[in-house]
Amino acid sequence: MASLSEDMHGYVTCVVDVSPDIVDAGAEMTLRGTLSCSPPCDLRGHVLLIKDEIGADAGSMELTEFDGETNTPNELVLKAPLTPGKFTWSVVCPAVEKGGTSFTETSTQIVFTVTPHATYVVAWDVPSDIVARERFTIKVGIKCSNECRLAHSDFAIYDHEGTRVAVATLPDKHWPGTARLYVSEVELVAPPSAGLYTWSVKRLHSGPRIPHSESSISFGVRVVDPPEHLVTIETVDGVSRAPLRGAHVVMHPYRAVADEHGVARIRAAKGGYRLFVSETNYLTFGLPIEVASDMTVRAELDLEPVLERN
Amino acid sequence: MAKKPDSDQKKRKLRGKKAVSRRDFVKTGAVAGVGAAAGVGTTVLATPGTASAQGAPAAIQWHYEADVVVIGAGCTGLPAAIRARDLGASVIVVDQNFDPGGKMLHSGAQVSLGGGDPLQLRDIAGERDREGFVTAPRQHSVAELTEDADLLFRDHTDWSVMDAAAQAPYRYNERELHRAYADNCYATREFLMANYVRMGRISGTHGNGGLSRARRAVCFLMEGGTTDIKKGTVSKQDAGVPNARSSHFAPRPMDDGAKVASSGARANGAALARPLEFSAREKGVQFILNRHMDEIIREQPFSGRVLGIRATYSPRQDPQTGARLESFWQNGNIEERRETIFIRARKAIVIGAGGHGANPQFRSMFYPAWREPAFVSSGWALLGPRGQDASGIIAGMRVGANLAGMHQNLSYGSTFHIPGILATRDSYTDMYPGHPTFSLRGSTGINLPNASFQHLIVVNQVGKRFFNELLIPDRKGGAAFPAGPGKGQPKSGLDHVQLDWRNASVANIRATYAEPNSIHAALAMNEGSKAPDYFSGPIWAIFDRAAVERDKWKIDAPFTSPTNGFFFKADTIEELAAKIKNGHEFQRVPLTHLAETVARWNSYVDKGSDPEFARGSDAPMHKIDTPPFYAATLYPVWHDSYGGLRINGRAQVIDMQGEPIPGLYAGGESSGGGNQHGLGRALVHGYIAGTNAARESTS
Repeated sequence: MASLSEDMHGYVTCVVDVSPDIVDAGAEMTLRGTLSCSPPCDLRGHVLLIKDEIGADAGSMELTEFDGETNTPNELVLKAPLTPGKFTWSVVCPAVEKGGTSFTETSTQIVFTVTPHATYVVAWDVPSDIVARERFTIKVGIKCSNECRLAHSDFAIYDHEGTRVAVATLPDKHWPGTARLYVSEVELVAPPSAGLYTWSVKRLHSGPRIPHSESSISFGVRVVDPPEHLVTIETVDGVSRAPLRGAHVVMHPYRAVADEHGVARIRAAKGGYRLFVSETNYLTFGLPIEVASDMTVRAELDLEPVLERN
Repeated sequence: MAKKPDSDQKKRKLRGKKAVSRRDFVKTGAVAGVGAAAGVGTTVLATPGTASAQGAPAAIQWHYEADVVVIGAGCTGLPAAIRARDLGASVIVVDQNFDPGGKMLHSGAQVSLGGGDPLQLRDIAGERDREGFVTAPRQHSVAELTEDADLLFRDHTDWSVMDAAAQAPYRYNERELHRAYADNCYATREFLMANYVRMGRISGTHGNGGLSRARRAVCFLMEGGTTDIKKGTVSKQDAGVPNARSSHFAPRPMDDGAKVASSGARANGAALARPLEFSAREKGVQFILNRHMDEIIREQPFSGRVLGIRATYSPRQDPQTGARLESFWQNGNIEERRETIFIRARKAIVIGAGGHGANPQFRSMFYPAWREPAFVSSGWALLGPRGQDASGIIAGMRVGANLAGMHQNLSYGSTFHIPGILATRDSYTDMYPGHPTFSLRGSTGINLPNASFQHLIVVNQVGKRFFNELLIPDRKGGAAFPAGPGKGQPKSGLDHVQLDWRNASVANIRATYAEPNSIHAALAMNEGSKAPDYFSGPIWAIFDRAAVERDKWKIDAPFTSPTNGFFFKADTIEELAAKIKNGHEFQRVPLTHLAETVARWNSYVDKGSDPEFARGSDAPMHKIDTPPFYAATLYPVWHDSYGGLRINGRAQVIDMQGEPIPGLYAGGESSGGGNQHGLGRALVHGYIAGTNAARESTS
């Protein structure tokens, strides 16, 4: 943006840009500009004034460089307002007399938009199968796009009917190794009948004074009938017959990990399943099974051939 | 041979001038230097020239000359150079890279020849190698090793063979070329062994090397206290540590060669390329490295002999130190830093400059969607930005050469595909710290076996899934011995019947067709793409901490780099999408759909089925919900080049009238008309080219 002012002796052109022009509330924005005079004039030391939307002082930029034609002020880093919306501020170059030339006051505008901070919600460690009416726990993490401190903020869990079933508060400290992801563990109670339900987590308005956008995430709650039978899965290397400790066993929705003897145990409801056993560097073992009583399955896994690259 | 030092002012003027074109050079009449003939017959020229007609070859001031000028120090160039030198020719090898070896150096050194070659005969006789290194037992029956050149020739031209992608890898092969190939396999194997190349037991046959017999041997060196090519040893330091450390000698850590040779054997391309390079240097072949061939000069644009080449300085620097990268060995190197030089070939030029896998415009002749510049050829870090740039083929075309076998790029599964190495641009092979180019690559990559793809999803440039992830890295090997139904053949091994129409029957093709198609889906990204090129952009593997822990992936350095733009980590999916957009050179659009895609995937896992791409039937599905979240590139690569300069059985380049271009030879991936994968083709071409180039009359 530019404005022009003339007097009997000369005129000034002032150009100031703001970056970014769409900025998160309270985040930093940088003002850069140039000021040129006709006739050229060294105005170093002169100060440009930044006025906010109600005319209050928001900062100043001193002209520090002159290349023979153009004066350049130092960069100014300002905090954006905390209120979302479109803002029009002004940059005022006060009247000045230099070298026998007088320049009248001139001003230009800077326009920018302030947005609320985004927040992101993650939910994990939801058990893959939950027996009806039983208690279970999940982890919920929330963070701000600007890494605001969200400690002590509240969030709620809503069930498949939209009923709030839990409210929890984020802890004082963020999760180790993260950039201010605040994590809480929440205990919940499963619905009374088997099925797949979609629940959600929503951050509640609380905590920091900086505005944050609403955010939520959905997660599935798989409720199963009480298991009737024990399925024992013995996992071994197909050649050496060595047990595969740590092999992952999936019999949707049931999951288990093989113990040091290569044995995994799943308590499952009666019915048909596809049994998978996975282990690093092995071909996945797959087998349809029908669970009608306690049973044992032996899964022999073969190493995956190493792909030839020449 | 010492190069005469610059001494006159004219020469100094030239040295200071950058990017001298042939036209400029002739106009200035600059004189490069005066030299004396070297002991091996290579000459640094001194003759002051007279500038005359612009571009007239007669006016060119040659800076060097030799009987044979070889372009490219790789799998074609090195054997050509050695063979020509053996026959008494002086030889200069020009290579754009700082170190000889080309793609051969990072290969698996699997050399399929056959036709009753010396190694087949050695195994048939139950003998060991002369040095006694090979103690592994024979891997094939006598019948599987017994053949002659006729049988090999039929194999390589068998019209009836169809592979698992319903492509015919052999029927379009040039007959004369493959007859010559079959007739020269014995001599080439012998030649390699005479030049310090040790090879183990014959084991199967490499891609498109024929269906009827076992023909492949892997090159090795024995681990020892020092690297001594004459003695056949490589030090531990030079061999590298598998999965941990490379060396300058071996850009990829050398593999355990016990199965094909003996305990203590270390095998891969370094065991082929380094011995050939050593032998070439020992015999007096001279190398001008860091020198890209830009033009072949012929007497007339489309007639007469080829006279020489124009080549420009193409040094590569270490990004950290700025120092020029240097070759592993220096003896025989001609140190030459002028921007442009002209090298005269008194007898012949051999083009062994590799293929076109790194040239997007050239690639697009075969597959327009492959114009995406993000994707490179295998060995990108090792070879540098000008490796595999089709320059040999293009230079040949400019002097009137014909092309051959252009469609044969479609007939081999690894020509272009999506390898399972994540988080690196060089996704076909690994490389570890220790090689001078590792810093240019930045990361080794996360090498995942196919089954590990159950732990991730793969999205396109806008963040949408596009294929069943378990099938993405799947590719079918070439139709080669022992083949069988998994490779498209009704019968395998000795039961294969050459030229049997049943091999290509519709019933067999229907029964054996298994083209995975993932590469085509990856390239067909209309969303987020723009005219005129519709670049597909990169594709991304998305996974979480749970996947890393569950499948025990190594995601720290050197497997990934936090700064090379091929691996990202974030606390949330939304942040991950933003990091990808801001951090990857070829991510031109935001991954708008990524968060939604992950949420949908998680809902599928809850349901136990994937209605979009049918995941869940062959392997379990796993949620992506546990922070931190990761994104790693999954980069398509153009590995092989098929289609190039048409050559005849003497490896002479053929023009558009079907006549040889006098003095011009080519082979390997610079040539076309042969669909054999790997090293055997190029080695034989080099041997033939070197033989005939040396026998040319001097111009």
